[in-house]
Amino acid sequence: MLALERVTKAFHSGNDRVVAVEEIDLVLNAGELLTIIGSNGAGKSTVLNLIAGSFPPTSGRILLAGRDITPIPAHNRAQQIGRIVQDPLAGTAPTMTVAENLALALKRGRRSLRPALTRRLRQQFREQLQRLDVGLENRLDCPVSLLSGGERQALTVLMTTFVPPEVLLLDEHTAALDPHNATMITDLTCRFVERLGLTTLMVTHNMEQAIDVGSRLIMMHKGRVIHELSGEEKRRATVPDLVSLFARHHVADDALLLKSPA
Amino acid sequence: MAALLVHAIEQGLAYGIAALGVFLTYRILKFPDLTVDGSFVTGAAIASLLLINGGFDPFSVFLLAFGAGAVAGLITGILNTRFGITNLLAGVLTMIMLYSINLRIMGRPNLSLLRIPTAMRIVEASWEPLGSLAILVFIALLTIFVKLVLDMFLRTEIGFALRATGDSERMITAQGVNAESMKLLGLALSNGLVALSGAIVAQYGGFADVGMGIGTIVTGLAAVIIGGSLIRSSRVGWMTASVLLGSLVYRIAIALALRYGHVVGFQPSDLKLITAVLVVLALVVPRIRERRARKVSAC
Repeated sequence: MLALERVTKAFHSGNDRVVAVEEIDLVLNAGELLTIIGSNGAGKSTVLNLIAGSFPPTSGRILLAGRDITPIPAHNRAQQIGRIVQDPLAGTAPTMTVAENLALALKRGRRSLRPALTRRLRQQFREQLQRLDVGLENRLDCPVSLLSGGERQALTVLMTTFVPPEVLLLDEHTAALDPHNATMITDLTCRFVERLGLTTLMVTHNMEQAIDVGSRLIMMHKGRVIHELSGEEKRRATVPDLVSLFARHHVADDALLLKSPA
Repeated sequence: MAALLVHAIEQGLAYGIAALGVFLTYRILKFPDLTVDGSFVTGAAIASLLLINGGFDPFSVFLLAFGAGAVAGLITGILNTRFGITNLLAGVLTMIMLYSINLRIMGRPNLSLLRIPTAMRIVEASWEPLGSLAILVFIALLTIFVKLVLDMFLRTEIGFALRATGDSERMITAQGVNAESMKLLGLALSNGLVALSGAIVAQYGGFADVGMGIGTIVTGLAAVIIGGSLIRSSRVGWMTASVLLGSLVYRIAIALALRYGHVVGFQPSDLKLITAVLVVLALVVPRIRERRARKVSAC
C-alpha cells in the first residue's frame, strides 16, 4: 500500500514560488490500478516524481507499506518502485543489446562482480520476450537503439516488471507512440499488471484510456485532487462526463478540450 | 625499418592501456575526461620515485601507480557529481592540480631512471632467448592481460551498470543503481589505467617528465576513434580490441611520419597539431558520411 500524506511540492521560493502539488492526500491500495487525469501543469507528473523520489517534497510524508520512504533517494526506492515514462528512449540503454538490457533489469538491488549474462539467462529472456508478442525473442543480440519506439517501450514494460515492483508508476507511457503502438502497449501493460497483480498508478492525457483502465480515477487541477471516481460511478462514466466535470471546476485548458470529442 | 616498427608497436601497446582508460570515460561513460593529461604523469612520477628512492620491485609499482591514478579520477568524479562542476571543467581543474602534485612527487621536472633496474631492464636480461623482442613480448602480455581483465569486468553486473550509466542515467537510476557512484567508479578505473600506462611508459623510456602527459586525452581519443572506425562492434571484447588496434595504427603512423615526414616538410614539433587535426577529421568525416546517406541498419 502506498500513501501520500499532506504532500506539497513547491518549486523556487519568494515571488517565483510555484506550487506544483498542494497538500495532496492519496491512498493506493495493494493490487489497485488508479488512473490520474488532469490538464497540463495539474501536477500529475510531479506526484509520480515525488513517489519515485526524483525530488523531495516541500512538506508531507510518503509511505510505502507503512514505512516512511520520504528521505530515501531515487535509486534506492527503485528497488520497490518501477517506473515507465513517456520517452521510449528513457527506459532502456540504447548501445546495449536486448539481452543485456534485460540482464540489467534482473537486479534491482546490489550488483556484484558475477557475470551478468549467462546462457541460462538468455534462454529465460527468450521465453519472457515471447510474452510481449513483438518478435523480440529473435533479436536478443540487437542493440536497443535499432528498435522502434513501440518495441523499446514493450521491452521497458518487461524490464520494469521483470522483478515485480511493489508499486508501478506509468507516466503517460503511451503518449509518444503512434495510435497502433499506444494500443499495443496499453494492452500489454494491462496484461502484465493483471497477471502480476501490480499496484499501479497511471498518469494519462487520454480520458478514454483513464476510463477503460483501472478501478479508480482521480482528476487533478492546479496541484489538487478535484474529483474522484470509483466503482459503479467510474464504470458508467463517459468522456463527455469527465469534460463536464472539468468544466464544473472551471478548468478550461486548450489541451484538454482538444482531446475531448466535439 | 624493423626496429622502427618494433618501437612503434611497443609504444602503441604501452600507450594502448591509456587509450583503454580514455575509452572507458569517453565511449562508455560519455564523460570527456581531461584528468588523464595529469594522471598519466602521476603514474610515471610515482613509479619513478618509488624505483629510485623506495627500492620497490618494478612490477609492484604498476599497482601503486594504478591506485594513484584512481585517486586522481575520484577527485574529478567528486568535483563533478558532488559539487556539480561540469565534466570538462572538473577534469581541467584536477589536471592543473595534478601538475603541481606531480612536481611535488618528483621534486623536480624530470626524473631519470638511468642505472635503475626497471621492469624493462629486468625483462630484457631474464628473457634473453627472445633477444630484441623481449620488451615487445612483455608489454604485449601486460596489455593483453589488462584488456582481458577489463573485458571481464565490463561483463559483470557492475560492469553492465557502468555501461548503462553512460547510456542513460535516468534508466539506470530507475533500475536501482546510483549513477553517481558508477561515474566515480568509471573515472577511478579509467585514470588508474592511464596512470598504469604512464608507469609503463616511464620505465620503457627510462625517465619521467612533468610534461610527458600533454595530449594524452588527444592520443587516447585518436586510438579510440581510429580503432572504432576499423572494427565496428558493440561487443565488449571487440571494442577494447579496437582501441588497442587504434593505438597501434596511430603509433605506427606517427613513427612513419616522424621518419619520412620531412619529405613533405613536417617537423617533429608538428606532431601534436597533426594528431589533433587527425582526431578532428576522424570525428567530422563519419558525420558528413552519415548526413550523405542515412544508413538503415537491420538486425
